[in-house]
Amino acid sequence: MEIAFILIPLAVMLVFVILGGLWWAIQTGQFEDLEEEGSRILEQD
Amino acid sequence: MLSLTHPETQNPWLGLDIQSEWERFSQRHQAEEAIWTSHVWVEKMHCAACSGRIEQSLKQMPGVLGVYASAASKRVKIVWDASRTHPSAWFQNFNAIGYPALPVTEYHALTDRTREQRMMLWRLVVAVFCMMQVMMYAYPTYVSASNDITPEMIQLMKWASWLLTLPVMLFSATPFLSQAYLSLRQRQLGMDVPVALGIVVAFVMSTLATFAPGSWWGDVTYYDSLTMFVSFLLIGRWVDVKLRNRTAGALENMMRRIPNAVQKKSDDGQWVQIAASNINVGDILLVLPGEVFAADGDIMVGATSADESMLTGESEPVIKHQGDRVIAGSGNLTAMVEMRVEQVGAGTQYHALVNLMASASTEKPGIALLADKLAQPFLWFVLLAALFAVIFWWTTDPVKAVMAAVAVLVVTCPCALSLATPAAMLASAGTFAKGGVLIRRLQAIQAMSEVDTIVFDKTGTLTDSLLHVQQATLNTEAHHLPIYDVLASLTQRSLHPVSKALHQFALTQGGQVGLVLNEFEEIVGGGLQANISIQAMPVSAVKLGNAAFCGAIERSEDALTRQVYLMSGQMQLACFDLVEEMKANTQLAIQQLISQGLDIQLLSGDKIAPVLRLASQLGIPVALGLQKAEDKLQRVQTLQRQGHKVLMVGDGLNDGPVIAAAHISIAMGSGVPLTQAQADMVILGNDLSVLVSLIAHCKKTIFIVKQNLVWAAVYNAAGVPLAIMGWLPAWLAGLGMASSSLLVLVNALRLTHWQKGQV
Amino acid sequence: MQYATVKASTYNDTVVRQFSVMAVVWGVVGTLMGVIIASQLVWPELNLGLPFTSFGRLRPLHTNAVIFAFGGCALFATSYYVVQRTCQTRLYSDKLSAFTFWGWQAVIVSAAISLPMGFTQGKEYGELEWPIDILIAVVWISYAINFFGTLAIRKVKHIYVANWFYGAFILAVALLHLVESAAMPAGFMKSYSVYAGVQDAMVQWWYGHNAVGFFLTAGFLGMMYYFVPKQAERPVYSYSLSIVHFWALIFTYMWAGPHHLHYTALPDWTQSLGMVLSLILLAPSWGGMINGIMTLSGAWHKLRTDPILRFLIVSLSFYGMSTFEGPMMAIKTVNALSHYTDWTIGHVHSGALGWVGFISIGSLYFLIPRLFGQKQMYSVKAIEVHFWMATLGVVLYITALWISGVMEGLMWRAVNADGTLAYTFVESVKAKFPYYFTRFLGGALYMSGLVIMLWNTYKTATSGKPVLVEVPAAVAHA
Repeated sequence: MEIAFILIPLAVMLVFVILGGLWWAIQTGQFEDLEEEGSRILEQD
Repeated sequence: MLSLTHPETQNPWLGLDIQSEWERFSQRHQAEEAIWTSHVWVEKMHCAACSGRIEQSLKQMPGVLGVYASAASKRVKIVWDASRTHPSAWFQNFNAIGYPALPVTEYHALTDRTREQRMMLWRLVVAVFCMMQVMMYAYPTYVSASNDITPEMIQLMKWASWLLTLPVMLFSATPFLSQAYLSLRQRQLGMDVPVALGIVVAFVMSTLATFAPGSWWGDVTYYDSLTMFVSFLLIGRWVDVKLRNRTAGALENMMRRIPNAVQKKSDDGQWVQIAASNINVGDILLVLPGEVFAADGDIMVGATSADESMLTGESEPVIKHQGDRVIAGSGNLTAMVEMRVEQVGAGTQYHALVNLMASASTEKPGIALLADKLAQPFLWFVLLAALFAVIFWWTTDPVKAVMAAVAVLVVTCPCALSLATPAAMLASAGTFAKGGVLIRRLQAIQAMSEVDTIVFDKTGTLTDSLLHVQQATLNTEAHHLPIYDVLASLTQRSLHPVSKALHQFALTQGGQVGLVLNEFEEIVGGGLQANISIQAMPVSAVKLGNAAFCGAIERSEDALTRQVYLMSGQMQLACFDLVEEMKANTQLAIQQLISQGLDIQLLSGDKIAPVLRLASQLGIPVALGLQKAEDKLQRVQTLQRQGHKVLMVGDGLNDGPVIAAAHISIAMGSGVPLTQAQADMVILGNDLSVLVSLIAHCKKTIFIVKQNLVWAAVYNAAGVPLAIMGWLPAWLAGLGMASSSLLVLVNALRLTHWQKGQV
Repeated sequence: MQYATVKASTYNDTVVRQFSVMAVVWGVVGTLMGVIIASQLVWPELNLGLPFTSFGRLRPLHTNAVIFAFGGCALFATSYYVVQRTCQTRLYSDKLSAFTFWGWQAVIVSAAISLPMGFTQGKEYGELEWPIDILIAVVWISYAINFFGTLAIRKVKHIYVANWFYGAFILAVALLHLVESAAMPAGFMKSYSVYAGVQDAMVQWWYGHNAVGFFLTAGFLGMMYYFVPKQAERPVYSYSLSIVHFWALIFTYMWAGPHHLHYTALPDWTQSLGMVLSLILLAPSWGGMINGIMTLSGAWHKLRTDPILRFLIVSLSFYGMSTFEGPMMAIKTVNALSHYTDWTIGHVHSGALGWVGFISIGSLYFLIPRLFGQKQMYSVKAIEVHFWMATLGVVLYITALWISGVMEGLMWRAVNADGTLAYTFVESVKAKFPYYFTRFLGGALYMSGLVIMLWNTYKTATSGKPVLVEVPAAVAHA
């Protein structure tokens, strides 16, 4: 199953990328006041 | 905050229009100098509809550039242009649309707390996700036959697991690791030491097994147990931070105050507005009725009466003539006066009390928590047990030795022990907060369960500073006259407590305001007088006040109530009996407390007669009047030295020192913020009966704490031998620790049911 | 961030319009291809003896047309619409927008020409040869720049959850495409995969299942999270849940692939891993379904009168069903019966026709009138008719293949007392005939529904006029 030598490192890198994305989201306050954001789209256009 | 603002005085938020004031809850825009972002708190914002309404209304104001309201956090962010609008304008708007706002003066503390909570959540998220990934890579080794996976594949997965554990070690676990390190540096055994040791040892062993397998440390890795363990620990910590922040936030809201603006006479004789914090000795200030005296000083022009109840407990307004001293923090009741500032800041009576409070609190008897007493010996026990496991197994199997030690460290995580107390305390604190009682110091819950003596203040604690008409005696010959209309109209403008009580009473009796008053005068120390022309009334000159003022015949000299007469010329229209209004359910509460075997005492700064009056009404055995702050302090300290556990309940500044010194203290929510800052608990509502169930629930809390501690002991007693014998693989130890912690938390949840009315 | 009011500008709805119309067109084409190959299975004469029209060559044309042409255009259209509206800004680049449209159509047309001509890499959903693969990569990178660029210039601080799903879909597909299509060219339309044997199989189904997970699930969940609340006029049931299940979904999807390779040369432990993760995937998937359906709480009555809402909500039921059926089929013992049978195809189509099809149809019915300055489609009655035809079509289709699949699986494994096989292969094929016919009927019904939609779209477009929609003047949300 040598292909795992590509797929597993790829997956690990992906995890770090996703963690980075999560970090960005938390730091920029994306997860605050959640329920209001849900209603916001109804007020637009 | 003393709120004596007369309805007709200026916009009460004017004090915020000074930059030094609004800076405390705002940030300036980086590029544009005139643009600020302010943060306010809006208690009444409950839902998205409210926040929408607020945003819409404020956005329309000129100079307001952006409004962002959040019902979830009850906060509103306003972006505004200081060259086109000012805070008092939009504060007034908030009030006008029914959503009064308060500045988030503790904004920076709030953001710090938010940041702390965010970081904790983030650590938890990283730990959980990495744990899932690591478990996924560990799974094949558990399920596969011995040569189904090639050694290279196993190695690859170990490397991947190591990489995925790194964020957990370097980031998620740092609170434990740094706390342990710090405590060791101070040569103390902190709670995090065994935990940190377990984590580090497991990681080091696994790292060695990954990169240099084969030596005495073998080749088995424990990344899955490790990450699982850290995740569980973090769940506990995150919940802890969340709960703590919730109670802290609630308390701070209560303490928000609007700073005062005062009017100072400038050099050219004009009145200018300055912040109360900028007053200097020698300034001449204009104080309107309804405002608070911002400094100690002497009356230069005018005469009035002052409400000093917050400072001295004196329930009667004190007459102030020209030349008399007024105290900072007291309220101006009757008339506009000019005063010359004699003392500010440190020199005021106010500050003298503050200093007394500070020194009293350092002598406050400490409460050693049950759990803390057990913590140190327990931690030593854990480390020794781990060491024993290592020594026991070393010669047989070094890997087993180390992992058995790790199992000991993990399974006995003093989580159950350290969670036992805070979990219960926090659960109770949260429940109390919902019921209108804020807990400022968790240790107070334990102290409350041991109370045997309760000392009450009178004015503002057992009673409202409001007066209450107990009885109205009307002159039968005057029944055709509109007595209540006269009463209502006459008392409409006066701030005197007697006038306010009579005004309320008149309205409930159907009296209407609107009669024309000519030559209306409020006489300090006397009463109210005016000329009212009504057809039916023989003489237009009307007087309302004490017997001497009105020229009425005193009914009886030593009456338990206070009489106020309404006269038209020589004819007595009515006589009103007034008493201090007690807070709701006070009588019931005192009775219940006495029946529970508690000693009740009443210490008040008020005159002896009213104090004894109230004490006999309520059945309180020991009552003293004319108690200054020092007197109260001394009495309570004596009681404590005699071995009594004293609960002090008060509200005013003069209660501050004794509240700081008592074993446990409660401040009333309507009282002085500074006193509340010293108290262990604050009762928000007006209902004293909450005390009884409060004490009962505190006792229940301690009972559950003890239950949790017993469980923790039993669990550890079982777990340690198992771990030493090597029968506990690391992951099972982690699971056990997590389940034990969970059990303790669930047990604590039983404290979230609190019936205020029941015992 | 500027505090002055933003200059009034308009949304780029031209590209949205283009993709929306083409989505309907390719929907008809793709399902028509499906009907053709289904009928070839019933009446093999329809192969016509020609290479261009043979089943082997037309099947990938069908799969590519429905997934990438129909599904792809629907995703482009809706993602471009949603990202603009929720960010309150025009698309990042009009040039890139136009390029992605024409480029994608070029990819589709190239597929339509090359596949019947027999040019194929032979990998499921990755058949297109290397020059087209390169074009796909270029278009996709442009799409990514355009989409993320729009997010970067957004006027609203919060990024609405639908955009997270779209974003993950775009990035994941980019990664998947690059890995899967890695090949050595050996001629203009000929190449050899860099992987071989069981390694290739692993990559193929890592790709294949993630294509389902990110192209057909994450992307369309993004669609769902915008159009269901908009059509129902209610906010998402639990916004927090949407965030949680999004992250859970992306973390777990990557390793479900091996469940396509049970009982093959793939090592046992890899198969087991795939099985376990497929089961775990059930939870985050159902999080999405519950969230979407419960958005209607308090508004269930609207289902009685609104056929568009019906399409949207029924799509979620099919989503729930498929994401339950899938993990079940990933269990090795179940898979031992279902692998290589029609059950697998039935499962695919309940997801494709039920979930992907219905959510796209519903979303397009919401979008198309608005793109042509109308309040609703030319004929709401036609939407009703479409709904019933489509639903009946799906039900016929999947029931037929369930029965057929289980039956043939059982027939294959049936043994006599002496250990010999009870049925020959041909016998099992013959037994499937009535079910293949039913499936053909179901598919034809579904396609006819889409033809009605095409007519409805045409009438709506020609009786209305495209309008320019102004981006609302943004007051700074600090």
